[in-house]
Amino acid sequence: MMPPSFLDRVVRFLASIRLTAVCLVLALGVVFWGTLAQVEMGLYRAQHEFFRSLFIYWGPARAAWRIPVFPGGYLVGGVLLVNLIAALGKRFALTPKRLGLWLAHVGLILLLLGQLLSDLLSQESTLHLREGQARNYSEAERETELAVVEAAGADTDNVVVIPQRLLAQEKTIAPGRLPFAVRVRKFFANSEVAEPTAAAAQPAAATQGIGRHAIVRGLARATAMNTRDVPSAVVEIETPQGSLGTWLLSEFIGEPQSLVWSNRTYQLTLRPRRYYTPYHVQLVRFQHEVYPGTDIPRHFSSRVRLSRADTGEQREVLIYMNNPLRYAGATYYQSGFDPDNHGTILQVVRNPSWLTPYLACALVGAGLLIQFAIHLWGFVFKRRTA
Amino acid sequence: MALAWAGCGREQVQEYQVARESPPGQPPALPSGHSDMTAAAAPALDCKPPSDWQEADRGQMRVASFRVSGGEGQQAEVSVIPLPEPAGTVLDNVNRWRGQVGLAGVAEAELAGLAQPVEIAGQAAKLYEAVGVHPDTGKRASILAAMMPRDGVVWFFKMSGDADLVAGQKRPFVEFLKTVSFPERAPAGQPGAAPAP
Repeated sequence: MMPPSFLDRVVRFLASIRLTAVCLVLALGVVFWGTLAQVEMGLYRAQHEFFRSLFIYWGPARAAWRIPVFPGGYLVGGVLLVNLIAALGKRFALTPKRLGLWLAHVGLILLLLGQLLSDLLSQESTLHLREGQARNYSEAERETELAVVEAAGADTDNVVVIPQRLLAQEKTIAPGRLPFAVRVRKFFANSEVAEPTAAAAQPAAATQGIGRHAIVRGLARATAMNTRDVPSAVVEIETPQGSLGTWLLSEFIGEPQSLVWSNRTYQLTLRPRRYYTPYHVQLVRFQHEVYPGTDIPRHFSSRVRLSRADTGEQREVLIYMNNPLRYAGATYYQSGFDPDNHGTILQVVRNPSWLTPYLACALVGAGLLIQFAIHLWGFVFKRRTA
Repeated sequence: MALAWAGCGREQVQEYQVARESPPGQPPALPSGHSDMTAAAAPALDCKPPSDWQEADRGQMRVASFRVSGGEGQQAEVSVIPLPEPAGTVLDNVNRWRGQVGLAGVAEAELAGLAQPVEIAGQAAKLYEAVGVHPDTGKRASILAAMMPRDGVVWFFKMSGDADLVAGQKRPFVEFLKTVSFPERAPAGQPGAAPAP
């Protein structure tokens, strides 16, 4: 008998049930450790460091180095996915007797793939509307972007947007549409902007705009669920003729700051990342009912008007708990409201692969049912013939 | 590769053209009985400061600013700053103020014990007081501060300065908060009412 080739051994290893067991135990470890870490790190950082990573890193406090100490969610999930695919190909050939097992494995593969797709493709943002207000964009509160806005006409703007990941690299960015480059001198993922006091020796944050009268300090990342980072950046505008100075941009400031170059005016602002839509959502009315004599919410709902200029569509929709609006690939959930009951906060989720978990569970369920039925049929048939 | 591309494609510089916010004629008119909240009016407020407070330079972040002088060269300043929500939690801000006078931060559970009830623009609000030593000057310093969210803006009312002077000005500051009022926003297309500190 020929000894198995190296490739055979690799495939056998990848398809082994032992590898499945190891992956499941490691996944348990990642979930357990990641859940505990949320106490210190907060949900979002823990998600990023434990589940959306190949490795979990550790390093002494205040040390600049960290070493990988445990596989992260992506690695465990990735190996499990390869393991399932290899097992499906090697051990579960599609025969009538194994149809159920085959379907269950396809379902599990789809579940893992769907989760990966959700992670890569889904967007979560919020839409905050006051009564009467309409918007054609939602905002990702935990991501920032630097927007350079120039009026393009009577009612349109040209917008150039630099995302947070590029800002954090603190390098020079030269977008093609702008006649100048944006050099990010300093980026703070979380910060505090304050007015300089006479006693403080810290110099003004920038040479232009509000930054001439403000100082900025970096802060530790916000970890609690009810807090968020306030990012800031100090940027220098570099033209072919030289520097125009530095600007302090911060979500703490909010107001856009002007920059004039070659007789054209640009507005600079650091704002929550925006996702634009080809339609407007307008809050017509927000309703909040409480149980009589208490502050306990009984029902809250948002009546919104959808208006889409390109199709002429106009309709009103009532959004309330467990009754979201699904439209154009986005789902609008009732998430919160303003303390004065005249504004609503809708969570907007875009997940192109939102159907995959349902399909995967249906496949696993159908597979197990078929496999059970095959076994039951065989058992009953054997008893009759015995 | 396709997945990696899909994930990373969102991290590039983007260039696009959009309709300016609140463009005329779009979105559709509001049903009757609804006030127009779409006009992005600048935050403004009216208030009546005590006669011995001197108006000071407002800079770009403040809508009202006053200087208060006491005996032996003591100084305090009062500022009113509107910031877009969320502008930090109450706990974040209280601990920031405490840090400015050299005090350690407090936990959420201790917050309620520090709050003193006050009235701002006819609404109930909470005043926080921090007395300590200024980390830069080494002098006893104090902060009185309150914050109030309204129409997507958090209003910060703050008095800071030499501890003895601020202690003596606490009652005038609380009375000043009562005088604050928010003018109705100007109709769209007209300039917002100028702040009258």
